[in-house]
Amino acid sequence: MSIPWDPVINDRLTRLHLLARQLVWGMNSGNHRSNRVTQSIEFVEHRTYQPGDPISAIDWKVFARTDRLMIRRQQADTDAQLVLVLDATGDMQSGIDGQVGQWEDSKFGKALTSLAALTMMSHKRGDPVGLWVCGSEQQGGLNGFVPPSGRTMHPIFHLLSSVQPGGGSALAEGLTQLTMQLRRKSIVIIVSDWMEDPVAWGNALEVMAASGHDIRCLQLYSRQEWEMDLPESVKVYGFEQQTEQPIQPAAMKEIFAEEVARYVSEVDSWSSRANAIWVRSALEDDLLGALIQLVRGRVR
Amino acid sequence: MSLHWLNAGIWWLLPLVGLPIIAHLIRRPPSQRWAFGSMYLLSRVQHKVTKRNRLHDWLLLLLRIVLLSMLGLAILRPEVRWTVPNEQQEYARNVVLLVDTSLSMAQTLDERSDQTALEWAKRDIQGILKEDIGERQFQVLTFDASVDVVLDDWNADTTVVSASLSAIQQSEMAGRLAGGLQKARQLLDGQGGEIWLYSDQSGRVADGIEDEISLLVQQNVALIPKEIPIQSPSNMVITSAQYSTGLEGGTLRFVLQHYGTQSQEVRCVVTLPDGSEINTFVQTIPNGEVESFVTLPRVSDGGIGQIEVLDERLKLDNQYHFHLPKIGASRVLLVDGDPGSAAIDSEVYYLERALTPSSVGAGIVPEILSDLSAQEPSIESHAVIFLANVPNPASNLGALTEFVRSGGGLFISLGGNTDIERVNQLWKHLLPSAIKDRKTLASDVALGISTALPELSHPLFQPFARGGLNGFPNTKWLEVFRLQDVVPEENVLLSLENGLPLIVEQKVGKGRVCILLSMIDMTGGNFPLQSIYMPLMQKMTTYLGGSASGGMRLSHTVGETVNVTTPQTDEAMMWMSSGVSSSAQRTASGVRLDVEQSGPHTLIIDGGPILAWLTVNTDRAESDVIVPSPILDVAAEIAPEAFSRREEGAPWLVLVALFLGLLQALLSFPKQETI
Repeated sequence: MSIPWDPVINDRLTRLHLLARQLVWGMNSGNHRSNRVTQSIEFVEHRTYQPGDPISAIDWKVFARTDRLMIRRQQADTDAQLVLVLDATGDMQSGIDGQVGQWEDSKFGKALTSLAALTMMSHKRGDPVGLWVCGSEQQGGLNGFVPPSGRTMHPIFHLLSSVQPGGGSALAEGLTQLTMQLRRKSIVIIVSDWMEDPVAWGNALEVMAASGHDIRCLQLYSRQEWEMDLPESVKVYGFEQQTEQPIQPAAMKEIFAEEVARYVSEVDSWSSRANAIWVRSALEDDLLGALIQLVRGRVR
Repeated sequence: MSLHWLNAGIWWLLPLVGLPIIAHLIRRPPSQRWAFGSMYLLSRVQHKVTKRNRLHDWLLLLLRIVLLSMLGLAILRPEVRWTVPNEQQEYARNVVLLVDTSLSMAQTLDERSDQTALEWAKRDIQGILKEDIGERQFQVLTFDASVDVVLDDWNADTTVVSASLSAIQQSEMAGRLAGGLQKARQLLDGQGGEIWLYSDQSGRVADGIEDEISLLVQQNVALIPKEIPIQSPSNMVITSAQYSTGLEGGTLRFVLQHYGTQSQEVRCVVTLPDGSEINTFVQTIPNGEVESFVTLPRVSDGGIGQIEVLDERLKLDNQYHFHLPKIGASRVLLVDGDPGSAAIDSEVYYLERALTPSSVGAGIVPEILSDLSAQEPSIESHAVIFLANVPNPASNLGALTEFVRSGGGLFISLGGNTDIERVNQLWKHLLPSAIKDRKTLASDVALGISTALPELSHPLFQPFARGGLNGFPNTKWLEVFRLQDVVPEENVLLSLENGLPLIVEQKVGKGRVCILLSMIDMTGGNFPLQSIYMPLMQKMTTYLGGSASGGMRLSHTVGETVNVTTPQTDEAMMWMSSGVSSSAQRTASGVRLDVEQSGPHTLIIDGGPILAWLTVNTDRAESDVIVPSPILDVAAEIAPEAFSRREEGAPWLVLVALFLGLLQALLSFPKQETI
């Protein structure tokens, strides 16, 4: 499977800066604020000298003015690692008009486009980037992982072009495992349809947030489905269950809309608890705007 | 009100309305498949949608079923018919007030009211008469089994008409409306008019009114039944009671019929001729009968008893009278003329066991004496006396004769102690013929003379009609006593195959004497060991003792005429009822009595015995207070155009169907079905 590139998106994203909302700790100097206080440009604070502090850290000018030994604390700029998370479960295959096979229009295709563009963007900025794949038929339901580093573009593209969506719920477990894998505080961008029990993945997201990661979520959905704008009488099927169900969309439009609202409310609640940036993008809409929101860190 | 189908012939098409329903149920699944990425959301909502749509679906289906059924029924063209009086449009001047006075009109209007249906009818008439009746004139008729004209002529004076109602009396007879209608029609004399019928319409009151209904319609007479407000009609009545004797007393078996819908426990009181009362309680069955029994003390003198069910709704039929036969057979005196040294040698050894097998049996209590002189025979203490081979016929002869004359039964068997000369001399008034001699027939039982077959129509031998006749030829005799004279055939109850009389009878006064011209024990033959011995001797006891009670036992119903065949005598005969006597009306063969009231009656000769016991009970059919078929229904069958109205239901059904169609269209738009 080839990655459905979108040149416009690539072009726009590479001109954006992905800035961490929290202090990160990178190996190299970069654009992101580090939680490591060091001799650097940006002043943070003064504190009273204590035995053991390096003498070179004493701000002698302050000592001259105040006759007190004070230590100057400064924050170092560092590179922030970006971890991209791809939901490769079965339902990501679905697209618009109930069609299958048109990758460009499917959730999975949109996810690949997004992640490839983000990889390119991050690589261009010199930030280390990694990829975590939750659930995949190809992986036998296991998670695929390209650890973040500065030279991972090709492995990531290779993994993105080779992964096949499939299998059932894997998001909660995948996020939990990813949290355990990450040694550094990172910017984590998760692209998924989030069609699993919010309680399950919400807890995993909360744990990840508690570990200090900057979480950004892109939720891909079909407006046609959420508004039940389906033909009069159809037989729907999912990719995670092997059953088919005849439905009368008109009969359930109202009650389904209520349920969607309830679900969105639950998602927003979990998102808030994880302090995540949550961006929803309908398959029917332009993906670029959602990605710009995601990168700039402006919530919805 | 009844329902009829004008197109009933196409009922078989009605199931076709089920086809659309089946089509509704067999729903074709959608063919288009749709890859749905939000199956998780669908699963969250699925149970709610399924529940709501399932309910909606059933409602829709129900509406469609009813709709189609309405249309189907409309095609069948239902027609509702109800009965109405054939009231005339024009003013009717002549009005006959036809009042039912039969027994069932004595029922109260409800459980708490004391007012009977007849009383209500009178008050209702009086109430109407107080209103403005215009130029009407009235005639008042009452009917039960017969018809009475209350007013002398048509009368327009409401005061007179109202006053005449007080003369109407409740009857115990059954009602026959046909007679009342006929008389009313005759009074109206073809001039038209109205008949206001006051009847509870229960029992067989409407039997045979068909012709009269037709004539009323022809003669332009309106029949207007007035509805009597009887709430939950109910009545309990004893439909039969049968007394049977036992060893220490008697048992009265009776059947209690309950016409009503609520089961209840009711008290019944049995009253014996001596005034003593026995209470019993019976649980009734709604609209059913219960058979029960009550044990009574010994009633030796017989008579007529009464059982009463304490039912407040219709008191007039609460009592039922039944016969109590005089218990004669239960008191038997056995006089053993040859007791012997051992029990088995006793002359009456076999007889005693035949009368009281296992000490019970036929309810006979024998008392055994060896000499009649030891106890004076009395009808007060015994009903039957057996004299078995007694040596001294003079013992208490006077008392014995009086015993028989006054109704006692005497059985005599002869034997070795029998002194023929003394017997002929002393007992000549008891015997049908003098005894001639004693003849030996054989020396061995095998060679003895067999008994001839009896006449089964005789009460003494009726039990053998069901079987056991073989016992007679098997009963053989070694010795018999021959009679001097030829006894009339009707006096010979049993004889030998050679023609010699074996048992002969003689009526003496009110009593009866039977003589066995042989021995009652084994010396005369093998009689005691034969199968006929026990039933024959038991029957002999009841034959002699039972017949001693005298008088016929008759049972009749109120309204019937009782004809009693009596002996040709010039003596005055009287009917006694509840201590009141009245002269009996003579007929060619006896007397007659037209009974109009229930109760016990006896026919007596002045200063003489009772000739007949008569129980008169009310007509039990009249006690059925449940109206089987209202008179208007009967009339509507005979003259439907005059007594019924009809309304076709198809237009209404179509209207309902249209409404339902609209409703289901609203419900099904947009089309809503389950997931």
